[in-house]
Amino acid sequence: MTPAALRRTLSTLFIGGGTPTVLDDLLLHQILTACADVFGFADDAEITLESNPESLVERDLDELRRYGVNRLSIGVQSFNTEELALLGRVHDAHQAERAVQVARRSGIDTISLDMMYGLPGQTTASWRDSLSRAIECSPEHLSIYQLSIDDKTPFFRLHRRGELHLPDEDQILAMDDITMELCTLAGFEQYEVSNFRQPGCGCRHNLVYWRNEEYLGCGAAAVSYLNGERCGRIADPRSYCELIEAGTSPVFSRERLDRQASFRETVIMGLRLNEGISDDRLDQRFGCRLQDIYGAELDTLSADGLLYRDGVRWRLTTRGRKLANVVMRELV
Amino acid sequence: MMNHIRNFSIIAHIDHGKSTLADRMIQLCDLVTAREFKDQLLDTMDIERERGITIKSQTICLPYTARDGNTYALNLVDTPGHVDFSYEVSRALASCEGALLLVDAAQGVEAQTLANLYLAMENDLVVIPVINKIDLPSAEPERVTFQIEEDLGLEADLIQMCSAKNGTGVAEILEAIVTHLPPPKGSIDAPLQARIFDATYDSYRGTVISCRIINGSVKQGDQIVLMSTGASHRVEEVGLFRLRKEPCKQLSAGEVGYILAGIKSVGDAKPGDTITLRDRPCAVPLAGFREVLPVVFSSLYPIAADDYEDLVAALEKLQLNDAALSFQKDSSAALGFGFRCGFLGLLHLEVVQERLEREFDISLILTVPSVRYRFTLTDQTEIMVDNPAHFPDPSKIARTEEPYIKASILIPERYMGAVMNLCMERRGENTNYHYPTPGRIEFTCELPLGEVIYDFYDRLKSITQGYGSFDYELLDYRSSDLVKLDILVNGEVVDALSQLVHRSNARERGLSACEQLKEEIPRQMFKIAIQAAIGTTIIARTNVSALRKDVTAKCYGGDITRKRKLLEKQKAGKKRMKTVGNVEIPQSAFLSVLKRDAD
Repeated sequence: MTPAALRRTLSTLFIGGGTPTVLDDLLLHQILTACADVFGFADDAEITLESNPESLVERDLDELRRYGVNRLSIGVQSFNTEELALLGRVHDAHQAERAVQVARRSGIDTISLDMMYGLPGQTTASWRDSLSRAIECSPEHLSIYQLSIDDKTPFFRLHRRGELHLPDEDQILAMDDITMELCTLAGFEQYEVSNFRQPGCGCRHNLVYWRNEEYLGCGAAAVSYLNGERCGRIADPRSYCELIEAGTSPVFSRERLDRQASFRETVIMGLRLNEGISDDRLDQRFGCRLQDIYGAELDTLSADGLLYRDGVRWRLTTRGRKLANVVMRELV
Repeated sequence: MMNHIRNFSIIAHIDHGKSTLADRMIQLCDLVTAREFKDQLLDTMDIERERGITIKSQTICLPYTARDGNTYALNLVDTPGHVDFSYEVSRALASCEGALLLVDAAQGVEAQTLANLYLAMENDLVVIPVINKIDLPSAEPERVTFQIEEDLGLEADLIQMCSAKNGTGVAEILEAIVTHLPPPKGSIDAPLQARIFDATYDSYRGTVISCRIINGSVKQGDQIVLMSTGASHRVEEVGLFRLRKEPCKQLSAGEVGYILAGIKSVGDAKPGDTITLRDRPCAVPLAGFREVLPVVFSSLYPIAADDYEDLVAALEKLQLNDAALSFQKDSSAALGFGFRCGFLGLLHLEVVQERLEREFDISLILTVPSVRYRFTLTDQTEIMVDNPAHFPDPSKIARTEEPYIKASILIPERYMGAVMNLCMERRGENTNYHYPTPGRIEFTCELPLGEVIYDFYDRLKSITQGYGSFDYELLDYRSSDLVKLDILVNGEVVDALSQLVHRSNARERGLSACEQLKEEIPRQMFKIAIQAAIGTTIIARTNVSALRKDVTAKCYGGDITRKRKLLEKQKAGKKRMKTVGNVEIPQSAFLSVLKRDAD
């Protein structure tokens, strides 16, 4: 870690990727204490812990809260037992509900639920039901992800063999409509492609990523972005531990973009946010505005109804948000 | 002298281990030290492997000390391996007395092996079967032995077993070459007769002729004559193929080697042609020479218009080494400037395309391959057309003719029905068959060449599970009924997708093209109509539905680099598309129309 990094205090901490609640209280406490000792937390620091329903139920959440965890992200995914089984989740719908209730009662400030749609066999009715039940748990935050079929996953192999019955595009769009309808009705505001918040409850940690600002990552596969350099650590946990114990850097890949590439990256990340990107902020940071870097692309995208300008901000339209990759492919 | 020469080829299916076996033989023959072997030989091999398909062969002369104590010159005459190049293969085989038939112990005998074995038999070569890869767990040497004996009718007691990978049995193969293959015949005192079997281009020394001396001898300073053209050249150097070219005093009857004679273009040293001496010519040229003419035509367009100059340079450079390639300027409303090129066949076309893309880094779009048609117009003028763009006004056509071939297809008996159907589908006539060996049928059929270049060979391989081998010769032009099939994307004709087809096939081809394009044209933000038309009549249509959702659900700190790179890659892919009207059409879409549905 660079000395410069050590001089910073932490304004947000996100313990996640995998299921950190498999760690016992002692280890979690050690991590949090170490962070406090090495960096120190800002007074209003946001400290998120990622978790699964089944690992929460038998856990002393008061203890976690005392350590400073004030935000809990729970990987519920669905309230439909069949869909959960298909996703290989060990919890069922009932456990999911109980976990959220337990978390709610613990007094942890912010609770976020991860939900998924576009699952094999899912219908608009089952999505409406799942999302309604999520909203009934009254979380402050919802992350709602459409299933993507990535290469080299079991789903990918099934999909290629035509054995995965995914909802078609019409059904996905109908599910999107249900999401907007239910979230709006419950007072949620969409602030990123897949994220919804109650007023004032956005995930400050993730906003750092989307605004393409700097962060430090620790642990296997974690990525840092510090002083303009992005460093990825080795993904295999065992190798990671061996390298650390041997006093060797676990950094596996380094990337430093030139100013224009970094500008472009900031633009495409920022467009994921409903707030869009501010030309003024870009100008402060890079010394240039969108029109300086892009030419006809902006006009074409605007004419196609995907992108619009609102004062100093550029934002995706509702249609543009559904076709964000089309826009980003032009601007990357 | 000739008693201590053996000239042979290795006949093998792709991947059956030909290069590995050649490597092992070279090592055993003390041609080079281990160090040189590693530094020099393997490097060239890597490039070959990288190219995937080798058109140009590499011939090598191996000094081998046999168990009888004598040193023999073993000339390994390499051959290209595909039906498009069967003429070149036949000329290489005609330069040998024997051949190793290399068969993979796990895969067994395959089509390409058979086609070339057939050529070897026509040239009266002694064939030593070699079963390779006996070290593989899946090896079935007994089954393959049975196949060689029963299906191919070769002598089982000549069979050699080896693993070229670990070297087992390779020494025995060298010994078998000396023992079982006959030495060359011929007279050193007779007038020179040498057969050209290959020619490559060396930028410093001009054309390097690979040849087999049948009679007589040739040395530096001789005036040679290439008998097909009568052109005369002074010999600058003769030599043997070692790892590099190694000059020698003279090449004599029975030997295989090279001749440098200041010949500017490989096109002037035609495979199969006979070389003799100007001052003491032979009476007749060697039999079997024929002019190689392009039979398949397609236009090549650079995807990026600024690659045009590079494409010119690349084609010129390729032609230096590939006399069969011809090209002339062409242009398309959809694709801009390009070249109309002539090829020996579809594989030749694919090889050229691959080399242009990989060695010269030029992304290309090819148009649907065509043969050369003959039209007699109402005013009795006769025109030859190999490009749909030059299709005459149908009302002015008095008579249409297309080239026919005689196809010879060698198959195990059980595939007879399937092959017969395929030939009928392709408008075959005058089918016939006989049994060259029990269980094996030679099926002959007269087919329009235009039907054969349209994925015939792929289909044949598929319906015969790889056992069908195929060769053809051009017959004549016969009366036909052609139409020009146009493809429209969102109402605009994409001229590069037009093709000339027989009227009876038009609807099926049109539908097939529409379906293929539908698969390959990525969805865009609006609906795209794809239509096939003859003149103004639409005969088939499909749609590509509009894209309404395309967004990455998750993108956090650890995903940024990967997602950005993916978008960058897709953006680069878009640049490789051609825009027709407002529709972006990828290169793969143009290529897909060249192939029929895989049914």
